[in-house]
Amino acid sequence: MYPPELIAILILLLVPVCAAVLLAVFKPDLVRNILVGITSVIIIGTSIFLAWKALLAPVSVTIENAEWIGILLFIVDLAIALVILGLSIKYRKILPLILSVIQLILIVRLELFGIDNHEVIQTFMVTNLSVVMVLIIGIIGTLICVYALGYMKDYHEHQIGVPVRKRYFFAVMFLFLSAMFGLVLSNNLMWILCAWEITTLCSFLLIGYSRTPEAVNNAFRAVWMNLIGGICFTLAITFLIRINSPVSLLSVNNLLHFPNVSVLTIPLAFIAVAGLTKAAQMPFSTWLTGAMVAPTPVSALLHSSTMVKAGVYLLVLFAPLFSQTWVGIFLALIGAFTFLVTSAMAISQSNAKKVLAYSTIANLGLITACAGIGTAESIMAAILLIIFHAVAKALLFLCVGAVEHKIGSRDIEDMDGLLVRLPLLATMMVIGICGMYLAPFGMLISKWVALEAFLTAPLGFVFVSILAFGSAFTIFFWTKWLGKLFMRMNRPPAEKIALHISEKISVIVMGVLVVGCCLGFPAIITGVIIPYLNTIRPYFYQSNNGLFFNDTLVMLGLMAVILLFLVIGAFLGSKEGRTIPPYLGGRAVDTEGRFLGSLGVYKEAKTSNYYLEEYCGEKALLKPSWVISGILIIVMLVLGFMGVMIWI
Amino acid sequence: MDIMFIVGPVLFLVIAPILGGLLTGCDRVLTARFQSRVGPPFLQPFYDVAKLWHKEKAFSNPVEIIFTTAYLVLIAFSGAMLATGGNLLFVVFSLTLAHTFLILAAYAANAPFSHIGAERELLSLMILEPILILLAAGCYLVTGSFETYHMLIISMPGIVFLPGVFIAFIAVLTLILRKSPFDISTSHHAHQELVKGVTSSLSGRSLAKVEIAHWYEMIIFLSMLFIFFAGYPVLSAVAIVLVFLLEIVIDNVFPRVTWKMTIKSLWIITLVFGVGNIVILGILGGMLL
Repeated sequence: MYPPELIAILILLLVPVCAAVLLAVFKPDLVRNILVGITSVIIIGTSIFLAWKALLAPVSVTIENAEWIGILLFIVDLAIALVILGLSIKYRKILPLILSVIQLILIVRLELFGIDNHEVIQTFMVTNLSVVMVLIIGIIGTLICVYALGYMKDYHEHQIGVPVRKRYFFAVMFLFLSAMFGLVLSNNLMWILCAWEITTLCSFLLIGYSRTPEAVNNAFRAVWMNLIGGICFTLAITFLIRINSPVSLLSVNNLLHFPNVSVLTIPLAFIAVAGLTKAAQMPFSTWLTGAMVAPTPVSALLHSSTMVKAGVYLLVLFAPLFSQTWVGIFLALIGAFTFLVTSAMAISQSNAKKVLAYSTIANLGLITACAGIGTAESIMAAILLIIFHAVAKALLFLCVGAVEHKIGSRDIEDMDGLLVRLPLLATMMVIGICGMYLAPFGMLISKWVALEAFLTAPLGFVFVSILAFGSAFTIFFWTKWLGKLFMRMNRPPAEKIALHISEKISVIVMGVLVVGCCLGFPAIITGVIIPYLNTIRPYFYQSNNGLFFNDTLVMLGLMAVILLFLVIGAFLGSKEGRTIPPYLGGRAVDTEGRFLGSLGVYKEAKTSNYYLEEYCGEKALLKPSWVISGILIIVMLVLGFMGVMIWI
Repeated sequence: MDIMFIVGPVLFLVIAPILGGLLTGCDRVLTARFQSRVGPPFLQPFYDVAKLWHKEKAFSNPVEIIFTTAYLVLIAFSGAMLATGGNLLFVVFSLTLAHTFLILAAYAANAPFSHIGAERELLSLMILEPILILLAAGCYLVTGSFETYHMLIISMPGIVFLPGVFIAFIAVLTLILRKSPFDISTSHHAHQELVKGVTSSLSGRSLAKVEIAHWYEMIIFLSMLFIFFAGYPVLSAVAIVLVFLLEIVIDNVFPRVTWKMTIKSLWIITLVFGVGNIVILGILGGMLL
């Protein structure tokens, strides 16, 4: 009889795959709704169960006959490379073609000539970091799939001419979830590589869903950038195998406890590049901004719980090793630089999805910076950022998607007075935005921890300075969006269209999750993160020297109470008084807030937000930042090959 | 320490608005004399607020009531936290939150003047943020903690370690005191482009709350100067008075600074002096202490 943990892991890995097969077969909407519903309940329940088990005691499972699974995964690897190869030939794309050929050669060479030791290594390791990821994928990922049920109906009503391929869509979505579970639960680097490649393929297929020329182009851009990551990952494994070690370094657990980090710098540098591509850091950021051509659930999935989180998961996983090398410092510099530049670029965007995309890249940059520094505090900040970003960003994407179908635009300029027009969605959007940057909510807490972590790290002053300016940009673009939502309504209300029940459920549950995470963050820190830090840095957290607790917590609590009273006040307080037209410089104004022109015509007074195109536009910033980040990556690789270490 | 933990904030909450009002009055009289005018009575700010408080309740969007209240409450709260010698970073974040509420109040009206005012207030918040974070970081590098209390008990005054941050802080103080850039702030002066920008659609009690909050804010930022001269009360007092006069002079010497110039000049100052200071402090590390 298998232990319950193993059964839970197998359910998480196999149930989404089975669901994907079934979803690909059955066409009727009703069957699909039932299938997605049942699978979601199973996945959510199992991931909570597994998390519970793993939090009580770290789970580590070794299964027999792992080499058979290895061979199976090798075949999967080959299949992925061949699919990309085939599609590249079909659409005549040279770059993905070349890269997938290289990848194919590397993997075949690795599998046939590289690995000769049949040493048994632990198959699955569920650390607290994996627990966080499992919960994010299991809960947020499935909620997004549920949301997609309603969304895709509207999508095909709005996008005339796009072939309806819902079977394909949902099958790939669930396959994606399965690959993500494999990525965060496996202990074997070869298995992680396989899952890594599956996520690349799935995102490629999903981005190109509509098959418009733009979608195809962006899908291929995503695939070639991620293929570079895959190649770097394979190279990292190739170099790892060459290292002389009594234990197999293909096991992540062995690797993390390997005493002599100075021989690991080359694989670490390659892993860093792999993480950077998947996490869409500079100069690889364009694939994620291009990915917004896909239906919104795909964006939500890519941005919050899967794809990009796979990249930062890998970096955070190896953060303890990065902390001792200059590779880590340069990785952190790339992350911090990305945070600064993409926060600035977010200012110049009025397309809500694009703002969200840039903010995702920025936050991932911050996570990358924390992972590169790799001290206990910074890992804590990184994990907090992963959690809060996942919930808040998923909520925001779901809201934007639903709003787009209701008001017919995803432009922030068209969202004025949304709180009156679509109260539920706008309230959830406000929660999401506040969660992204305001005290005392989630992201700000993480930023605070990051700041403290930076200050105690080597070269910390550089990171602090970058963070100071970057967060100023963040405040700018979030507040102007928030302002739009609260505006007085100067236009007729939108026609009443009810939300699909699946959308409503997902959005509300996600909103509750954001609030829950914000309120429960002390529990997350003490219950999940500090035990994890204790396992990787036994000497660090012997005594919790009040990094964040004590009076700070009291103050945050006080602030939350004040805000709570204000919100209650907003609902209960007296609104007696006269509502008057806004001030328009003394000109005659009607009740709608329009100017009365000299010939008796009413003119609408229109203003729009600042976008500072000339300083923050993509045109101004994108190319210089490619150059800078490119140089940083090259220096990082060189330092990796030189094996330069930090001695503290 | 324990008694001070209660007394400090309470004293601050009571005294700060009075002091802030008096300073504003003083500012207005002085500025008038600079410009060869007689100016209003010394206590005019209090008369203004008293009058505003009894005006009719009228608004272009009812949510502004809650936003302006939030602004006032959170500004006062940040000041009280500072008065306990609390966490400087927390005070900074709390101030940011407070300002966000003011900006939202301006957005809510959906009128051109208040909208542009909100955008520019947001710009000034963006300009302000880095230097405040750098100040907190500087305190951390000097004392190993964000608690302002620790900054007050070190042996040497903080300005020895943080001269660059001090210069940058004084530079951005023109913004906080709603002084120099004529098209960004909502100052009391005649040379104002935006008909009081961010507050142009507020009236009655809402406006009164914003005024009182501004008094609190002035005192908060001026008392942040204590961080640089801790342990030397007389020196601090002199420094504060001098800085305040300096700000009035700056205001009157540069009456036509636009917001683009403001961003450029203040961020260059922040980069050169503020970041430079932090980098040097970071490199030298504990050697200074």
